[in-house]
Amino acid sequence: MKRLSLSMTILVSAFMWSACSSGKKHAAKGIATVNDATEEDSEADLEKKQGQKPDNIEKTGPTGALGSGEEADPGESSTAPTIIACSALDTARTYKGFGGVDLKAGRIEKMAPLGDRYRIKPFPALSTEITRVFNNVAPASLAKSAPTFPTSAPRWFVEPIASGITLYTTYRIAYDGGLTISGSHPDMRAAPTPETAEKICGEFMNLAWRRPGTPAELEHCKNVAIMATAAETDVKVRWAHTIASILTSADFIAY
Amino acid sequence: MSKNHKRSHNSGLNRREFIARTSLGAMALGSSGLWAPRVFGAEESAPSKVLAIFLPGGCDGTRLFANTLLATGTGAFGVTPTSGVALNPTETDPANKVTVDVMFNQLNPFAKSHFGVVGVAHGITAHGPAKAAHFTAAGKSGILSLASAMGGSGSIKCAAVGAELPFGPTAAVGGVTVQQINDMQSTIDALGGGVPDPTMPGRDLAAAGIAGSLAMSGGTFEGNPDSLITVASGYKVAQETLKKPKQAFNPEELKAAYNLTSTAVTSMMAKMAAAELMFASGTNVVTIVDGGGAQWDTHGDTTGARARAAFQTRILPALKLFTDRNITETAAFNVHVMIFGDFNRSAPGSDHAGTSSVAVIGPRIKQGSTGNVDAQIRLPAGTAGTDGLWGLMGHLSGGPTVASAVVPAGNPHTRLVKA
Repeated sequence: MKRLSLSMTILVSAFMWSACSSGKKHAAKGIATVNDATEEDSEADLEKKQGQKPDNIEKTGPTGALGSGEEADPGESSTAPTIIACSALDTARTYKGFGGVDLKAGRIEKMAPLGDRYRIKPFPALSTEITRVFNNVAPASLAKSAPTFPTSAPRWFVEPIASGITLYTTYRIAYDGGLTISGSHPDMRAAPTPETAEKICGEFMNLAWRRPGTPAELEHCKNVAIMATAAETDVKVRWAHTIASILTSADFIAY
Repeated sequence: MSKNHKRSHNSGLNRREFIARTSLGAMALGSSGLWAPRVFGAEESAPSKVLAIFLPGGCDGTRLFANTLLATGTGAFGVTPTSGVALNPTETDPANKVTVDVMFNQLNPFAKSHFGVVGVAHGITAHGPAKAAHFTAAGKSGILSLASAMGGSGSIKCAAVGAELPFGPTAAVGGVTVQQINDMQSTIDALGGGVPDPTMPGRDLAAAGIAGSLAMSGGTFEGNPDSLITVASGYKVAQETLKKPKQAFNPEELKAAYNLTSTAVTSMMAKMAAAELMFASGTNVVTIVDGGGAQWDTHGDTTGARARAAFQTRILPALKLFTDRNITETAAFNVHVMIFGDFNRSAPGSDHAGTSSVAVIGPRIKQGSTGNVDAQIRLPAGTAGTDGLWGLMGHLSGGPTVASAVVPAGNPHTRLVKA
């Protein structure tokens, strides 16, 4: 998981590096909120700092069977994840395609408040992430759901978009996986209580989002477990909906 | 329309009855407990629908839909006395004549008698701006403005079927956003029409769960609101869809009708089938963008052979099937199909003209044309731009009130609308 996190961070860093500016020095200026990064930092230094993920991120998430006793307490650490962001737009650069077509035409040129993040995962990424959350066992509905999601041609990338149907389908896959996993988790054998709901919500938020849920987010999740599904008599169904609501949230379907 | 088509369902119901009783009928049952079968021939009572088929790169309207080059005697683009067919041969006004390529003879008589050509004088000869302009009405998205103004109870009012999305403004209009449909089966599942499956979440609880997802996403949206705008709108649509009464659809019927082997929306046939599914589910406007951009940017196609071949192979078979099922005297809905592209091709080199000739086929079209061009591919002076096109679509879909809701100036192509 550490390797994956570091790779992801480096990948995003590399993208930001090139997206902010063409010149290295200028690029360093463009990155404003990378922890304690300075203009003097080398690229390697910067990557090293970005690789220093909060401990709770690395520790979270059940390994092997859920509920192994190694889960991080969501309230244990509130260290915010590292966020990088451009501080300036590079609107001067143009990209011309064949026939002089402006390849930037129609592209949104804005500063994203929290950096170049929260972009919708393409299905291949979403697919592996869902599988990871469910102990590397893909829900049965995952593979057959692939045609629902927009895809790009080989060696091409199209920014995915979401729709009511892709979100419902994501929920359905996550519910399917949740049904399976809830049967093997000791804290999901009984109907949700405020205590178990908080624990499971925190556990899956850490696992899915790679960060702890905020108190408000935990409260929303607990509401699904305790209030919204209260009329349901099948305990597994209640927990499956709770897990599905986390895995259909923007923090999971985007990165 | 074939006899087989009229009675194609196992129940023995004809198409209009089938759709009314499975989709609209289900909705009516949910709300009032009454069946709401449609009255045959009651065009006014049938809901309106618009299918926008866009051919990016530059649809060859001059030789396909506004074959008036014949009158000029230039022979440009291979237009000869035998290459076209006059759909309204008794029309005396040359400007109102509808002469189309002979391939359109394959369409059913009802469709051919409700075939109009709409002139769009946009003055744009660059691909990107022309694409965007054709989907723009009064500065907003034409398809979204239209879908919003048409009203109705569908949770998905505007759908893009297939991988390609429409062009132009994307901001929601009246709360309506474009929802992409890539697979019919998952769409049917979301509509509640799937085969019962214990791994499928209950609709009410799923709606509540997705409401929870939305609530958990508030902080994330602030991080990159532009990137996640479709997620935000998608939650709303998903919840609305799940809160609607179940709608029964049989994907096997659609697959058989359109000769499909799967429910994935990849081919033109599948796109047409998906459009039909979405209309039955309550969608007002569906877009199909043909992915083969290079097919339609027919530079150097001075004989028109490439454009004709592209249309004949890529579009016509599916268009014929769709219109045979949906544009007939007894169709369940008032479906209007529009076929358009970036621009007409200029003469003689088949480059970019600053005009478009858009085909519109549907029950409220009065056969005629405002899109006939001269030998220089110019439209008559005073021809409206893209606002006029969407004003017409509004008029066809709900009368002058809807037209004015789409564009304040309303519909300038009134002669193309049946009284």
